[in-house]
Amino acid sequence: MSVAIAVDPEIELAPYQQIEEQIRAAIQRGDLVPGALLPTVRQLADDLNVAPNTVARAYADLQQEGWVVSEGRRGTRVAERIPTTDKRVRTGVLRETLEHALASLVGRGYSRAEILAELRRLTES
Amino acid sequence: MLHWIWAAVFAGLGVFYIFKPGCLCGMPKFRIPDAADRSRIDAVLTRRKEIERIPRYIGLYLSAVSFALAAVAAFTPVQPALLYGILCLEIAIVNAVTYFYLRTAPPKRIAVLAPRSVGSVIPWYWFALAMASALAALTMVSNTAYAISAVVVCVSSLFTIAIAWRLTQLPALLSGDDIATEQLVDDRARRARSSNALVLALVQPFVLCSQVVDGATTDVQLSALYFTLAVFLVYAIWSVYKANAPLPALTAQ
Repeated sequence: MSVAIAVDPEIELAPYQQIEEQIRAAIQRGDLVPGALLPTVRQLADDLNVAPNTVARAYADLQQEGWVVSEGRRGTRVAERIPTTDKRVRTGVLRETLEHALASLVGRGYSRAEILAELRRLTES
Repeated sequence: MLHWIWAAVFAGLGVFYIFKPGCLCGMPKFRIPDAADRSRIDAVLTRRKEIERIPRYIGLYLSAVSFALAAVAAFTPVQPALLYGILCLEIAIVNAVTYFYLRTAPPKRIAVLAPRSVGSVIPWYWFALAMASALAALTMVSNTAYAISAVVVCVSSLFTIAIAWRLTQLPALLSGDDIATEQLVDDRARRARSSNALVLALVQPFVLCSQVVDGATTDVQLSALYFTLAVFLVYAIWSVYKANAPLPALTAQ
């Protein structure tokens, strides 16, 4: 399965945070399995048209939080034991993901009532 | 007589580039039996063409150069091998311009979280063999009449190999509408374009060596001819085989 991420320059979140969030969310959803090799900093920076430092910072943060491990020249992999049991991290990821989605949808003109109604419908179905 | 043969070859190339101006940077053919998959790939190809916007003048420029070389070959005593070297250099430059266009195509800021390497597009040993083949052209330098041509072809071939290498590392061009199909097209396009460039790099030293070799050539020069021919043929067969490999089934959108 292809896991795609995007950087939206129009939302307030910094690009490195957007990258972090999306990789974290993909790991949590199970789209990125433990041990999966991530693209190199250079490749991801080229594809997303951001500076290599931006991707390097996102990878460094994810590594610090225990989501990924760096293997030097061999690249960066999803950690074998991801911090899923840490309730604080889980809540933080959920909140950040929702905030990001909310900001993006509000930015596109959806009202909070519309978003809430759709979210309720989705969670109940 | 040789001058007229080369004039015809250059003119033929000129005509070819008029009708196929995008041949150096074109998309590969996709043989897809499934109608639904075909429509998805067609849609992605159309979108991609709009994004890349490779100008038609690139091929037409090459056509004009070919016609000019045909005229020089037909009506002047300039050695055809030297004109061939100039054509190789022009093709290398056009390849570089095409690479520049592809590299600077409007970014979409979308990436797939899967690593990509040069080796996953074209194994590194092909680049090593291509470099050896380009350098083999230098064995013709000892033949004074072909010395300049040999150096020009060698430089052109090495330059084209460098472009082929860079083409394997082009950023992905994804719009996010149909990631699975876009990724497949992106992978195929990257392989086809870098492979085409490498074929061009391999054919150049072979054609030069075949012009130089006659009854008076040394064993080393003869070996260079066979080596460049073998590498070119084997790579051409390998690349055709890879280009015709069956497509993986597309996942649902």
